[in-house]
Amino acid sequence: MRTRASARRAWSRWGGASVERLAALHLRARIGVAANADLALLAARRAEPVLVVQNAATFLADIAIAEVDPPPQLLAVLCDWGIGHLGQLAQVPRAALIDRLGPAAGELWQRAMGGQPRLLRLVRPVEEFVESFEFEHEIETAEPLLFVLRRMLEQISLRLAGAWRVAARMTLTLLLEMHDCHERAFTIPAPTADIEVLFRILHTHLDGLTLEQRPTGVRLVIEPVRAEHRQLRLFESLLRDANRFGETLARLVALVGPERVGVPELEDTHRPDRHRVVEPRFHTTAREEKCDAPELAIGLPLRRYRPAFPAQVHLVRHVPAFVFSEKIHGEIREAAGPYRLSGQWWEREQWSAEEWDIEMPDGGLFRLSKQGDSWFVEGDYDVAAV
Amino acid sequence: MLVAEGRGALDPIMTRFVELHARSAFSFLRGASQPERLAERAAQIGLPALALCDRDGVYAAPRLRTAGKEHGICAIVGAELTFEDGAVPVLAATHRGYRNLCALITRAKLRAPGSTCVPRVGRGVLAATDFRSRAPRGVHSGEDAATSARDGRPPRSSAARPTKAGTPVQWNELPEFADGLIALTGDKDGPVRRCLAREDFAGARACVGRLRAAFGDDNVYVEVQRHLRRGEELEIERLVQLARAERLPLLASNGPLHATREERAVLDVFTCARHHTHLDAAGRLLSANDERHLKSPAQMARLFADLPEAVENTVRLAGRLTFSLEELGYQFPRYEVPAGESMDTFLRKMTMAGARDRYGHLTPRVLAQLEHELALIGRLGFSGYFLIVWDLVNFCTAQGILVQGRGSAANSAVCYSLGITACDPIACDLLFERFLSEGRTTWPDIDLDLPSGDRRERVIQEVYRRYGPRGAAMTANVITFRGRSAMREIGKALNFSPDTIGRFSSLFGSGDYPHTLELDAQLREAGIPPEHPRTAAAVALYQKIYGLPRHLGQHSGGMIVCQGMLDTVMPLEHAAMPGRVVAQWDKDDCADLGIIKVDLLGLGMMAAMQDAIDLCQQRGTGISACESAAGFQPAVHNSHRLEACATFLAAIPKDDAATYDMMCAAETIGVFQIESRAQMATLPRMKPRCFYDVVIEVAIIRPGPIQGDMLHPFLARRAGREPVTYFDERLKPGLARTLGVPLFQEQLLKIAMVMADFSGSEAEELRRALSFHRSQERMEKVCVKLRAGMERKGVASAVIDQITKAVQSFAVYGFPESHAISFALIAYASAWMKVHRAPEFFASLLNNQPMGFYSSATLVKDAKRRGVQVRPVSVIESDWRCTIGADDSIRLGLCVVRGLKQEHGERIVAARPFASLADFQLRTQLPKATQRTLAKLGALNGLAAHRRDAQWKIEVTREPDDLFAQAEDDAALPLRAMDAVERAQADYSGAGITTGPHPMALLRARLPDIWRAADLARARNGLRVRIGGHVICRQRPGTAKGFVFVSLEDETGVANAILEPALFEKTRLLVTEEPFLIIEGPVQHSEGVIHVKARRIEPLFVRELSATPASHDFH
Repeated sequence: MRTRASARRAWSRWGGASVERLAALHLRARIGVAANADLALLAARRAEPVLVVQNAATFLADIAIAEVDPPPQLLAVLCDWGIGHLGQLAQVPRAALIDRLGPAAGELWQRAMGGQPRLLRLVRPVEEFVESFEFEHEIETAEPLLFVLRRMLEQISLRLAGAWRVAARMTLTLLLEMHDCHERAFTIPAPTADIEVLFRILHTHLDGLTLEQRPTGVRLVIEPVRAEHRQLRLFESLLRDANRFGETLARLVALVGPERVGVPELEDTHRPDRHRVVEPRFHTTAREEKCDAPELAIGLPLRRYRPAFPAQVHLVRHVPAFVFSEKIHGEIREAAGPYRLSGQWWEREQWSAEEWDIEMPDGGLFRLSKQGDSWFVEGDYDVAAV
Repeated sequence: MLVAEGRGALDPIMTRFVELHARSAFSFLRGASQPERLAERAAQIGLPALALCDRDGVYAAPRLRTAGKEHGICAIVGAELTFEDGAVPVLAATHRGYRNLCALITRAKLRAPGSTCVPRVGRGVLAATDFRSRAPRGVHSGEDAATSARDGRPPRSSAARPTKAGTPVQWNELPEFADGLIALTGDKDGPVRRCLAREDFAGARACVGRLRAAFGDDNVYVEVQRHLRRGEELEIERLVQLARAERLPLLASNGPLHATREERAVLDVFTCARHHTHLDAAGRLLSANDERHLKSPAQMARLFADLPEAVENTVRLAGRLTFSLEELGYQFPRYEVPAGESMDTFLRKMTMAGARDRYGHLTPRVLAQLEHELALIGRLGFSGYFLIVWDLVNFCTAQGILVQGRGSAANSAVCYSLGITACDPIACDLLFERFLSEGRTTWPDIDLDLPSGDRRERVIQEVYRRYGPRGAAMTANVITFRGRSAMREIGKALNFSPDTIGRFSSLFGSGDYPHTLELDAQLREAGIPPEHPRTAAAVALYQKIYGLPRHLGQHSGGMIVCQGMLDTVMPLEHAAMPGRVVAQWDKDDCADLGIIKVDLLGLGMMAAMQDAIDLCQQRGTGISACESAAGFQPAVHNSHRLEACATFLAAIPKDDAATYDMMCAAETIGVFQIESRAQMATLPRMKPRCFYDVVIEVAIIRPGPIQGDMLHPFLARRAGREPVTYFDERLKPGLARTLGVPLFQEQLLKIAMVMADFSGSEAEELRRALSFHRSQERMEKVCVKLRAGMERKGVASAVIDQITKAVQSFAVYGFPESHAISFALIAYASAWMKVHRAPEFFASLLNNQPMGFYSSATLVKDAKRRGVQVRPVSVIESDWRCTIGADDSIRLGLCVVRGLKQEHGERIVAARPFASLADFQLRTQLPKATQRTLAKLGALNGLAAHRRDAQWKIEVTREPDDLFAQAEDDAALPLRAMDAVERAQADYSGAGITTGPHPMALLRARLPDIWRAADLARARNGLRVRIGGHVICRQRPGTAKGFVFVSLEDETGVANAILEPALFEKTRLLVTEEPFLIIEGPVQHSEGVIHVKARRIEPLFVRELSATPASHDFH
């Protein structure tokens, strides 16, 4: 008895010390010590923070069967039998149990009896392509940052090559002195593990970057993909150098800001002139392109004024007869309309517009719109296109 | 150049115009206004006529006709027919054209393989998540035509695909049905405009050519619409070119999809529902503006100032459309009489023969009544109708199906003599004129109550067999958007999270709760606060969508038949149930148009009663001579089982003191009609002592009498606390038996005739208004007339108010006396059975579940309280259905076992007896899951020591030649036997019933301060008590001003608690979700009725019981 008690104390001390050591590494741990792996795992789940199991039967008696994740159907039958704990299961003859409920029940019974030694399985963690670095002092210029980033890319690139992967997306996080951070994600136009390409993207971004706080650390995360080798179809062509194009865009972004660079796309709404700027897609499929094709415009091309010119419009029998604005003024020769549009009635910012196409005495064709009580000259039609 | 619509009267042009292509909400998700609203709006803006062209149907035509009459609008009938390549609106020019239209739609609808009638809106919260993944992306127009044009694919709208709702009309079948129809080229969904949208002018001409070939050169119009959208001028120009090229007239239409601009929001929500998307993602699927509303002639003249002939042609075309629903041409089938007989003479012969059976000696009074009725029936031409219903009753009799007529038919001695009804109207002094009168133009109403289930289905199928699938149909039942369904659809459209929609449904799914909580408060509780940017839209939409048609269902039993083809009277389509065909009109529409309906209603209690009587016959416990001596005549032909069954209702003694004693004690669980909590709370006050008291009891607990404040005056007068008075002494004969308080529809008619000089036809109008639940307006109109009549006669204003209130409250829901008598017969019979044939009664109720107010578990407990032993399911003893043993105990049938197939149950019964459990297993070969259920329930106990023993043993796989099987069985059992709580749990999870102790009995030791239900009678009034039990019923009647009634069952009976609205709102989740509750509050005793006024509510946790029997909630 004394031996058992002293062994328990020894294991407990060892466990306690291990937990403390792990805690020093910022790792929380619970430790179970038992005669075999399965039992030790169960013990670890119940440990606070260390549990040493010497009498398996006593320990297992109160453990609910559901805790050891049996197959649901087996669990249901045992539940119907009034067997809710491993201790109860252990009292059922094993052979009779297997006869009735099959080998899965036998395995469960074995666990209820304390299990058997088995080989441990190696579980590899999912490989992450992450590098981070904390500077001793806040940095003032981009050079030290670029130096560190190149080192990081070299490390990651090696690991990518080892895993037969390429980078599809990079996320750069700069930790700032006031515990804020700056984060930017980059889509790699042509996924690659080429350090130079990846570095140029980061470099271009940092070149135009001005921060209000000094960086104290940096973190780089790479999202890997398998390298793709695809044969183009007969009439399909890609950018000659997608990454170079991406880099050019990045330079533009650095110059004018991210909200001003991209591909214009009409929004799916009846509201006139609603569009947004989206990031260019380098990997769109033919199907996506087809779905996103905008509706063809009808009639003459309209040259929009952004912003539109406010106007005063005089109506005769509800038809615009005179217009006064910075752009045009005078009598209206002819007017076509109204064309009415409205939407988003479910929002507070619901909108409606009434549009007219007008012809001025000099033959100029313009579009007027009325929003609320205000009139605007929205644009002029390209008569030359007739 | 277009000219703006004038908001003021700038232009005095009053060009006449007729809107010939409108759609209502009966286009199901393609229109947003009720037909009544369209008619009202049309009248407001000066439209002389309106054609409704709903998609593939004339669903709303009768409603438009009725509303049109009220508003002075001519209702034109039309429909949009779905072809493979688009929808073509057609208008019925003549009666023949209308018949063709109905037949064509029916052909397309019935060609479909499936079952549902119309596209249904997605249900459930999951649908909200589904559509996100399926939301069309990058689709730039809601118009199918535009989409297809852009993609360059062949145009085919989703609606044109063959669905269960119907298949498209084929172009090649059109000529057969085109006579009398006029076609328009349609709107953007039409084939012509789809071709033009693809720049396919030749294709458009080909489409027009097909229309011309089918309908004739003079019967095709090129439709132009102008919705103030860019690009449409080009289309109009092409349409004008097309019309000129084809020498066809132009026709202007606004293609209204809603009555006013405001309803555009509803249309957008419906569009989202149709496309399984939400408003944020719908983009250009939504309407571009709100122009598709009804426009006035002046507006249309201005819109089409450049094409005046298009507007003028609408008037010309309207002039050609001579058909109206008045000339529907419906004829009820003729009854084939023997040679030498007319229907009149044959009816007389059958009536007199039946009367002699019913009455024995025909007294002068009986003869006079029969002569009077027969003469009137003959004059009105209804003899065939009576004979056909009689024939149907005969079929039921021959098939051994119990049948009883109800409704106003019970006022007819002819119906009684023919065996259609079971109550003698002469003995009961019922007014025949309530059923049939000289002034009546509509068909009388004969409803037949049948045992629900297979037996009723047999009768329905017989009607189909006799008249053919296109000669008979069920009437439709229009399912409308109610609180939960409306908010679910709105929530999905507004992109509320599935959690929010689910929370709203679970919090408010059991009622709309207008009493205490406004909609915005309900939304707040569901997680949408008032400041949410979309709350206002949700509330506004809710008000607009509530009550709009959602989909078409079938009426519970209303069948219509026709002389000739019914599909030429109205379109028919598949019902949800296999083998059923449903008409496009509901019962009110049919009644409006003089289409006769026979209600074949299924009553669970009829099935139970028939089964109970059968059991009595089998066990030799029928009604003895001594029992019936004091009552009515015994069955004439006792030799025939069914006849004995059919005459049972009439033969039971109706003055049985024990039966009335049970009613007075409110021990009426399981009894037809008087088992509800409200009925049980009234019975001790009502103290019924004769059959007519039961009639009143059945009629008085209805929303009509309750809202009309008739319940309490009646009970006070009955108890002698209030003198019996009358509105007027002249009303005394009609109101004397209800102590001066009008309780029945007949009495209200009489009051109107006496106090407001209503003529027969005016009284008929009032009767229709009372029966016509749909139209509040109709009721208000009659009330105005009634009030004016009474004022003319100088009736005191207080009395006028009282009478008007009574009439209005009856519009909510009130019973005709004859109907109450029919129900009271069954109610009394079932009560008598409960008292005198309890085993048969309870066994039959259990065999016919689900039915009635209470679960099987409550019925079993009630049976035990009444001394009936209920024995558990046993594979050795039980049949498929519940049976009665020699000791009068009920043996639960295998049918109560959840998940047990009837085929397996019958296999068990056939394989009996079993030598052992192994023998049972080998010879039944049931699936392991079934064996487990049976073992867990204790159904194998006769073959094993106890449930766990059986559970252990059945897991062994048996082989026929296993020599050691017995040795296995004899081995020691390692499992302990179930305790009482485990048994209850197993019973509830496996069958929903336990024959063991009530769960509260098992908990009682833990609950020393909880009063038992049976002990409450001893608690002094006002004493604060705590009651606890299983919640068997939660109710919040519309008449109770937000109060909630909760019934808790324990091992001694049922205790009732009343919750004030504020307490309920505070504890809503607790009250609605917890299966066991403890309620604390003062006891209230009032005239033998005991309840606890809840002050505090808490859950009663019964950890061991995860399964509980169902409760009856908020019905």
